[in-house]
Amino acid sequence: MARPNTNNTGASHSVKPNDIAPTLTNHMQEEQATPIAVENIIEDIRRQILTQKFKESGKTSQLNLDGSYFSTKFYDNLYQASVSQQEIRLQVIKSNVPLIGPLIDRLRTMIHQVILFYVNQFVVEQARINQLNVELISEISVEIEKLAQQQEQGGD
Amino acid sequence: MNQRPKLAFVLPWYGQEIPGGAEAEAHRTIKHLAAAGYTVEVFTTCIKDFFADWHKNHHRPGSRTENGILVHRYPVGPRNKAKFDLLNQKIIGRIPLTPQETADFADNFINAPDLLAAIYKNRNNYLFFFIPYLFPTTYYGLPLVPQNSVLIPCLHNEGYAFTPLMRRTMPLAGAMVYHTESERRLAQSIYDLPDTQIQTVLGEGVDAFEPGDGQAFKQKFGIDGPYILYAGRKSHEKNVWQLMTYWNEYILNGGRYDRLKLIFIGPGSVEIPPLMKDNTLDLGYVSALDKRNAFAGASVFVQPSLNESFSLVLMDAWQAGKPVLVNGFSDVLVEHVQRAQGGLYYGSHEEFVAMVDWLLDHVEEAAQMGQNGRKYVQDNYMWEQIIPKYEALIAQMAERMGAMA
Repeated sequence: MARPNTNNTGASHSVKPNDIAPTLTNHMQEEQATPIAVENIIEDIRRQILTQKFKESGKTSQLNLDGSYFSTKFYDNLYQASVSQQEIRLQVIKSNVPLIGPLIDRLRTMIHQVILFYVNQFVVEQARINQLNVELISEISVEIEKLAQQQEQGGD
Repeated sequence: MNQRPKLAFVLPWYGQEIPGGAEAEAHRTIKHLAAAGYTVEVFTTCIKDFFADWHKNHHRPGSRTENGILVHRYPVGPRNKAKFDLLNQKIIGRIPLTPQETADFADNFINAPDLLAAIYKNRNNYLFFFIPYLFPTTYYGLPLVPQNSVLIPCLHNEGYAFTPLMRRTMPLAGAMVYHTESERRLAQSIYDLPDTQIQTVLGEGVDAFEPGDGQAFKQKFGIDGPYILYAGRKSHEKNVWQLMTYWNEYILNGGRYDRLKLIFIGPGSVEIPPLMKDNTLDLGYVSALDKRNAFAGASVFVQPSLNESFSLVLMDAWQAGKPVLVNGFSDVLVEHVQRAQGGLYYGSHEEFVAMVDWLLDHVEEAAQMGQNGRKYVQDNYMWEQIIPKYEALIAQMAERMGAMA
């Protein structure tokens, strides 16, 4: 998974949710276009997601996602691990059986809900452990980066 | 051999209407090379297409001119389908095969000995183009003419790519034509390719996409709000199931545009759960005009697939001036988006939800992304850019073949 490598924020022009479909045709004619930096926009969106997740969990710590000591893949994986799904959500595929199809759907939904109730208890517990591991790895990486920096300065 | 060798395209099935990325690419490339003055012929089987039984001869064997191109069709023989299917599942699941299983797989895929004999018989008469990598037409055909062969692999990160058959075949090609840098990196990471092999990232030719009428599309299908468009085969291989999962997240858990719809066009069908019915529409196969109009009316084009070596439909979306939202785990799609600055790429359901909202919130930036994408296609993948690259490759190959003669 590719990772953005800069920290600027994409410019914004907001419309309210549920406005009729934005017609892009007029904007396409514009000569003076806003320069786009896709990587910055994605970085910004990811930060917002992480901030929201920490807000929801009542935590204030931030992960070390901006370092350069380790490979890009390291910081990428750290981010991916931090946003992994923490519970299983309900998904019921529609039945194609004539007449009693809706009844089957309802029964399936109820059964799935009961199963998920118990499965999610384990999932949430495991997700908590995973999150702790991610935070620990992040903290360790910060310490390693500090040590590396100190060594570099000492070497100078 | 002179500087303009006769070109022969070798592929398992051939026809104007055959669906599939590699098949359509071959057809279009053949047409444009012929228009550029090359003598281009096709060596293929009598099989109808990918979806047909591969032991059935749909076409009559023999050589005939079809739409101005001389096509040589050879009959296929019987095969053990049950054995093939079993081994095929193992390969898809990346379970290693024994040497005997590999041989059984290879021999029960497509059985066209006359085609292979014809390739060998004509080994000094053509520069052979093999497309795509995974069929017996390539792994049995290419080793018969290694020095005058060009392979357009259309390589994916999938089980077939790692089989001994491919490890044996890929290094033999005289030249490899890749669609993207990501595809080249993938090939070089899997295969032991010799330094003497020509490696070129050539791309793929794209036909001009005529502008459509988005309003007409909305009126025809009763759509009154913004929509995200998916166009293509609705299959597991195209990762449509994940798109549905993420779309489910958007509708039920956090998407801010509750009138937003996800519209599917293309072959196959998709299961739409009851709770998603109001926001999801599967229009099935639509006419070329409706397709153009669908692109024109879309706010965002989504591409969830992981198995892409180019993604022609992404180019269609960009030619229609639309921003794209692609799967961030596809190196090929991310490469396109980063080079074009033409959209966003997601790596989780949370990112999918947030990025859909971002694209709908930021009208100007989204429009600019669409514009960037259009410029990217026009600068890199129109036929006027692609054919000269083929000409250079063919000249280089002809020189080598001349030196060998």
